[in-house]
Amino acid sequence: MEAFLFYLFSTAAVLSALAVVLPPHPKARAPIHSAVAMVLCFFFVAALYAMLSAHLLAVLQVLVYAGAIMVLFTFVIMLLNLQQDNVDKPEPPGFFKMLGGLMALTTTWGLITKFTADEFLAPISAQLVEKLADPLHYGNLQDIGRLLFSKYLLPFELTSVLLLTAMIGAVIVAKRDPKTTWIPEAVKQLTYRERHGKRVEKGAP
Amino acid sequence: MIGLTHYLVVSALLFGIGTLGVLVRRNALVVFMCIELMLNAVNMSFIAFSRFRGGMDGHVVAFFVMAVAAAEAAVGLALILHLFRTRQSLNVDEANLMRH
Repeated sequence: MEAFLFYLFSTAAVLSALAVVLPPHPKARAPIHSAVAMVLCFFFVAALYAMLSAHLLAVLQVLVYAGAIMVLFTFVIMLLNLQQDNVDKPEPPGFFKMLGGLMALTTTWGLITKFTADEFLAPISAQLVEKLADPLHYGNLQDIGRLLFSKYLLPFELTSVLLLTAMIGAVIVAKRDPKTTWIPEAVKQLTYRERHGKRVEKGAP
Repeated sequence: MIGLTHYLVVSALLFGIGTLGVLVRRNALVVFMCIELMLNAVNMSFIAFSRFRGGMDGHVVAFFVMAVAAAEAAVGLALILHLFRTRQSLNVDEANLMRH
């Protein structure tokens, strides 16, 4: 049963990850298709986390990745007026795309041969604990929280500084500067006075 | 019996697919999603190692990776927004100047 579920979830995760990168249909090249495939992939990876009895991280994966980050991506896709942008048009791959594909293939092959080599796991196999004594007390919120607030207290506090910095940075970078940025006519929002070309009288509706 | 190696191979495959996307796709948004995919693959190997060694430190590291990924997504998407406003395109090949 465990093997069946593992192969089911891992195949689905790898296939949906492939759908993010290589569109299954030539019309599905828009980034929103990649985003939907990505959400699917995050759900299957969360299922794999649950099989590794990392319950808290499986929930966080769905909440943070599929919930927050991908919704942010979708917002940005909707904010941008991407219809005229014909980036990634279906064309035969050029030399550099071939080279990129070859490099990615080499990376994957190298990682898999390393991971499946016998001597890779030999130094730590003495400590491998395949069956845990008490699976109820593994990977739950209470024990991870205890670790976070004792052994990893400093990195945990620094994470809050990082998030604050990222928030301020995102606001400053995304702020619209009317002198340098281009605003499409269709998106431009006119004030009442600009639209009607007259002053708003006192007491006017 | 599903062991550590199985999970590591899935993690390597996901990482490789993410690398492929970063190198092959030209749309800045898709390149960004592929970076998230690579972070996820690394997270999975952290969790697999900590599960099969019996500790929970890998979970804490994966938690930090998630926090960094969230921060990176916010800043990166702001940069992409700005890139589109100044160039009207998301093609990473066209963004070859370090100024407006």
